[in-house]
Amino acid sequence: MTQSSTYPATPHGVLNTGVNTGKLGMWVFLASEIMFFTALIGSYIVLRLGADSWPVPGDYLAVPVLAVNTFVLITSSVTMVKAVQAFDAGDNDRSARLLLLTALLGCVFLTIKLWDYNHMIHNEFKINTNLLGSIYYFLTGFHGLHVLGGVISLLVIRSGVKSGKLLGGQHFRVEGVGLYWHFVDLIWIVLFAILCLV
Amino acid sequence: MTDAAHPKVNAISIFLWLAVLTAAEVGVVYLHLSPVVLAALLVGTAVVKALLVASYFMHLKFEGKLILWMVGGTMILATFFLLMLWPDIVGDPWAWVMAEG
Amino acid sequence: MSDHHAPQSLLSRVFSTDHKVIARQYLYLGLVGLLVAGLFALMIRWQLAYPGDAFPILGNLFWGETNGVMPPEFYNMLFTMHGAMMVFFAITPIVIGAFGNFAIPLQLGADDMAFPVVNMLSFWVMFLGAVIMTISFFVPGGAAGGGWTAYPPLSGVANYGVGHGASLWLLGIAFAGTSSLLGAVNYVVTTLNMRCAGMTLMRMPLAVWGLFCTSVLNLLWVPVVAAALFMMFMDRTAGTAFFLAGPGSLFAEGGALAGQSGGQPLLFQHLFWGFGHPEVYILIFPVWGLVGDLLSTFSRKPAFGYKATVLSMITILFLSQIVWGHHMFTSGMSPLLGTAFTFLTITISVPTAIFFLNWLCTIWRGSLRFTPPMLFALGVVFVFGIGGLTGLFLALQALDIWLHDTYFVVGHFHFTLAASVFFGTFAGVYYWFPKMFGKRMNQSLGKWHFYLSFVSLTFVFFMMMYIGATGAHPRRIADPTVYNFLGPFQDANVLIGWGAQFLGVVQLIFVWNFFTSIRSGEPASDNPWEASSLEWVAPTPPPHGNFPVAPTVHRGPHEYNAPETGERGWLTQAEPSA
Repeated sequence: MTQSSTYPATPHGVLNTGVNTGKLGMWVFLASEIMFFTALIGSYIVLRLGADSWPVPGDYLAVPVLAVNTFVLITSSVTMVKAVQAFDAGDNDRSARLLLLTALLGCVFLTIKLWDYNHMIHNEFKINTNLLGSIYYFLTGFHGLHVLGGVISLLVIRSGVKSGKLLGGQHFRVEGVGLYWHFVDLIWIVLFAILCLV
Repeated sequence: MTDAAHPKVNAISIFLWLAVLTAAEVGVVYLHLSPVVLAALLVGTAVVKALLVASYFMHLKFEGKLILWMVGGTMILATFFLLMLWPDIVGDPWAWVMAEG
Repeated sequence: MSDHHAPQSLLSRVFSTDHKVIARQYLYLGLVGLLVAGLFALMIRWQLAYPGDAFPILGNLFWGETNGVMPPEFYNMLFTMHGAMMVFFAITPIVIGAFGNFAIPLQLGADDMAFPVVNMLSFWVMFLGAVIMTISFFVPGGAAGGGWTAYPPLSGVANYGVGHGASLWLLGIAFAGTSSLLGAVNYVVTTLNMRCAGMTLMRMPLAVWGLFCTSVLNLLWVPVVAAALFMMFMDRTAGTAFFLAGPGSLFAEGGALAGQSGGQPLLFQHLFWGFGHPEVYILIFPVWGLVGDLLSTFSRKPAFGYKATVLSMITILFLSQIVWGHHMFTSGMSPLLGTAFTFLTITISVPTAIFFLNWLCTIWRGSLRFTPPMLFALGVVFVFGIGGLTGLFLALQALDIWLHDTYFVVGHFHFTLAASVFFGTFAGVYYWFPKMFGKRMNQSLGKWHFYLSFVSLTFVFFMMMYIGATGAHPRRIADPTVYNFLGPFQDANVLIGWGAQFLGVVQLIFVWNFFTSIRSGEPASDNPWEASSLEWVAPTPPPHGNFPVAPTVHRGPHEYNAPETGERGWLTQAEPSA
């Protein structure tokens, strides 16, 4: 219909709150994600404290490998910050390169993760071995799915940045993916400490 | 609003802090401390790292009231929920306090 | 900006990002869900009225080996699927999906939702969930039969009575939840950020406030139940034991871990009711808001205590999240928690009483117009009043131990939530139909629909509370006649059965009215109800982008017969004062 383009209706992104609509949406979504991981991590905490006995995680988990993975994810957060800064500075090419690098680091994380799963299953530590196994595979699995979602979002947003389709007005889209990526990083930081080390 | 103006965060120095704390976490595991002390140290460092990521990488330090309230309120709710799970799943908190005391 | 709104092909019309199209899609999905889940309810009541007799029609088709008598396993599926489908695939799509999508942008003077593509995805994710639920009927072992609460350990073990249907059920609910979550992100951001000039928070119609509160609860608690459902899915399929106790327990075998420290069944109850209690508010907030608006519009008076109503809704929004334990009084939970939850639960009656009295004061001495939407709104006031009062009994631990799991709870729940939302659904459909479809529904058929529904529905649920309170009639049994102590109540069950069938038949009036009005109803004017909120300022039906000129709001949503409105007695929110 042609009338829609002639209608001077309210444009998207009226800012009643003064906060960018995209940013608000991402934070609202992240609040919801906080509750999701509260249910997962909270269940782990109470189940563990309520258990009669608990295996030493180091006996089952490859802690050095997981530590390397932590560094991979922290590094990817840095490249993400740099990507957003480059995009804000108007340097789309540099931003696209950094976004690709971030996505690649995400892939490295996932590859190491899968190798880790494979290695542990080979050593007879499976999801139904004990409660630690159930919780480890379940929690890190859901985190892994979040990383996968982040990698896909990064690649999608990168193509927009590279082709120059994403410009000033949509600046929040890059930052939004960034917020999500840092959140996934943050969850891993928590999981690494309280699930893999304690 | 200051939406467009992102404060310049020194990502490298935050990264270094995170890296050092992660190394410390891994290192402290090999010290064979008592489980309670180990747990306290690890949870403590994890909280510091999480705060660093949230404040600087996610810009929470520079956000307005609305977003801070949203995140803060959710965290309060999450903590409350966890505490309410305690008596049924972990055990009677008072009995635990008495036994420790 | 609006290029992406213009429908070009069938594909872009089906996968439309226009909030009004999505609202209609939700409405159709919800009405189908209401029909299916309603038929389940009628079958439940028929079985309880005539247990042991051959079931009409279906008996010969399905249950030849029992001479047409419904087997108890099928009865379990019926009441499980009745509950789950009503909540997730009837009420949610109608009062949240359809009303939310239709009303929020129009009533706020926005051209669409904040994230139209996410909005479209939200509908199709729910559609996928509905497909999964439908498939679950046709897998070996049939649909889920663990009750809509699906308590472990029985629901958590794959080989105890319930088959793959229960696993699909978990997935279906998870999809419905994801849909609600995507919708909620949109509703919250749209409400906060997309209001037109002059539309302050305290000038929003109560319906938008209700939908906003609903969305906040959805955002915070749907993820929690999603986590619980996934955990139970793993318990059923991957051999984990999050909700299954360890060695020595009855359920330690059968795929679950043997010889290990296990999980805790009570954890599921906490996670489930952590969501489950906010869920009843999720479903009823939009109706509360809508009723507040309708009572004011059709009494031609400002809503009494608008600010107090908004504040009490926000208070309930907070309180509703910290009372879930009152569903678990008989679970063996910590008495410390039980006492805390009793206290918190009773506290909710304070804000509830505030806005309930505001409703009554709104209609007090008004010039009431008994249109179908007003009648249904008054119906909500009545049934919610009864339901709210009976809730006080259930909040007390000592009384709850007697009443728990009896038909008193069923009656209470169906008055408070089911009947309120049922009436609220029709109030909303009769109210917004002219704007949605550009046609008017038949008003006298609408009134008959209300009167007959009201009488039969009130009768059915009163009788349920009676057999629950006097006879402690348990809600789960398929055949009450096998228990001697329930003998005196079988006549009541027969009466409820016939009352329910009558209620079901009465709904045909609505179905007829709905479809004939879409085809050949008289054309509707832009503002047939003389209401002042912004959706009645937009053309009928509203085009893409909703408003030819972005409206500017000058007053609150219910300034009927205020001095500034002059001779006519009302002004829309967008009209400047005379």
